[in-house]
Amino acid sequence: MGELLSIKNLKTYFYTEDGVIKAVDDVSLTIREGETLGVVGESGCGKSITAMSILKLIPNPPGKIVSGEIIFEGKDLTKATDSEIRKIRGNKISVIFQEPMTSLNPVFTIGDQIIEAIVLHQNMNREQAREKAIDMLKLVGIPRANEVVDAYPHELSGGMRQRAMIAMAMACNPKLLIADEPTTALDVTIQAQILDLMRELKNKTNTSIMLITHDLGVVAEMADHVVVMYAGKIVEEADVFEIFKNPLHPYTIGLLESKPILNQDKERLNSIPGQVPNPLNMPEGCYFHPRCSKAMDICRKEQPKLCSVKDGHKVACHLYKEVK
Amino acid sequence: MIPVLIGVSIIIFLIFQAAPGDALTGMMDPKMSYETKQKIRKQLHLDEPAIVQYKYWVQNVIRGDFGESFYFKQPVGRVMNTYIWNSFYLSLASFILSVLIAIPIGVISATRQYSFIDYFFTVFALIGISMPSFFFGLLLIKWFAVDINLFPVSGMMTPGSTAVGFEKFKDVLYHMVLPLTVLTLGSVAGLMRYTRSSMLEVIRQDYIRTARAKGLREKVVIYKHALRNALIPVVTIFGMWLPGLFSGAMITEAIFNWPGIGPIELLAVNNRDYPLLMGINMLLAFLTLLGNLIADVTYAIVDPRIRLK
Repeated sequence: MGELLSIKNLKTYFYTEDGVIKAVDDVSLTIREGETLGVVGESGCGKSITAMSILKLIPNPPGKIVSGEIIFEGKDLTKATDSEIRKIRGNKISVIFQEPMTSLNPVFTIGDQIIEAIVLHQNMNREQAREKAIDMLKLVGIPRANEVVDAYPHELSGGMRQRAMIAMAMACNPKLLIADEPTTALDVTIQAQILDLMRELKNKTNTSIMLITHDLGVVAEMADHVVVMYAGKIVEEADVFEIFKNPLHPYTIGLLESKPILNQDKERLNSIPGQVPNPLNMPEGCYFHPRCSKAMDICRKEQPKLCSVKDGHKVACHLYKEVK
Repeated sequence: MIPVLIGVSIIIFLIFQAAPGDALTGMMDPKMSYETKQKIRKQLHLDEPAIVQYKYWVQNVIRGDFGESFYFKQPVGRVMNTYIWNSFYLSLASFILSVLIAIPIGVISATRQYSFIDYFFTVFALIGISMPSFFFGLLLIKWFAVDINLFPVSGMMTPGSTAVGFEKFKDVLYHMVLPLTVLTLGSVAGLMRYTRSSMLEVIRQDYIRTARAKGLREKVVIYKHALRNALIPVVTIFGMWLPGLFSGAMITEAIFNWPGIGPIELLAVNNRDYPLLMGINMLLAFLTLLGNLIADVTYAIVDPRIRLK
């Protein structure tokens, strides 16, 4: 499997009146062709900003990609011009957003919104694009696709809208699909259907998926490879079996322990004590040490580097030594 | 709509009943003897109770007869017809111009929030809202009519002009420039701020991000996806402007001596011309209701979420 996208030392900062927020701080990751990469972390850890940086969808000002490279098909997207990036958006890389309720324009029909993307990127006229839009709607399992194509978003349920979003995102056969918490706003049965759909489409088209989520269940079901982020940095990276079987970073361990397990008689779920640090006032040393039960002296002084401890397993923690 | 209109007619009738004097005091020779006055009062049913008088008035109004203006000695309908269209041309031109100027400015202001150009238009809007029209009108007359003699001081046509067709249109347009500027400044300011705030709200929505993520050009994102949504609240206030198109701009029309309905209203008040005032008020009430109806219909057209199945 070749590399499709690789992010190297990406730094995306937000320049606010109160100071600089390092939303993404020196993040490197790689997505291979046909692979699903799960990006996990709490709200505000920079996972969405990382994904939005790829397509330069960061509102600027205040946000800015300060340094780093995003190599996609041999090209550095951070240096791409507006018109170059527009040709990639919705075409080679497309996005599904979290809120299907608000992510579709309420005054245009579902069909119009899908057709728009098809006409823009593919050599088709409106009639052909309409046929293709109906096909896409059928593909994502929407019944009565040739009626739904003329429906407005408010006439569809949340799950249907998210299917329509997926149809829109997949319409131009993207190489990479960025799914930013695609199931968070949906109820559980619909979640499972949407995940099945995404997996099915991925197998059919060999599209890579960057799956952003805070739901470890979703990761276990979908991802091949997992990246755990905390406060703008990657703290652990491994393939999905390794992460669940053998988590190393205290934060990852904490996350896994705070997952509910069926048939376990427990009053409360475990949780990681404390809160995500204030992005304007990050602690010295390891960002996680105030909440870490295994914090040592060195953790308060020195920031750990992400290093390989096993084949394909990287962690940024002073507890572990790099293996060469 | 009909019950509201009936209510409005009762209120208008009561207000003018309560106003001092009656038809005779405005219409008749003051030296007329008391007996003659009483006789005429009886003829005009003015001696009967208010409810009976209301019945007579409504019967006539339904037939389109608002009675005779005391001051002009002409049927109210004819007086209104003479002047109201002059007001309408001026107001309509101002309305169209305001929309054409205000909406693009509002969009530019919103997409470049806090930039120099946004501050510039904000200051412009503030001036436009705070500038009294009588003062601005006089300033324009001083600068453009008196000092450089570019536009006429007042009126709607060159006196004695017999031009017809396009020549007449050009002459009217030429006379319209200054009053139009005064009227438009005020409404552009308000409408532009309204568009700006509506647009600002829309461009933060998720579906704008979706549109960008599709690879659309920024122009398409703003002028198709965002503007279409931002205009929903703006378009619906257009219906409310309908009575304004016919009510005339009293002060501006008076300053520029524009033969519109505005100065006529003033004249009617000063001369206790009750039939004319009641006629104008009834018409405006009707147009207000019609405007509301149009606003509701427009809302349903521009916003698919409102459309009835």
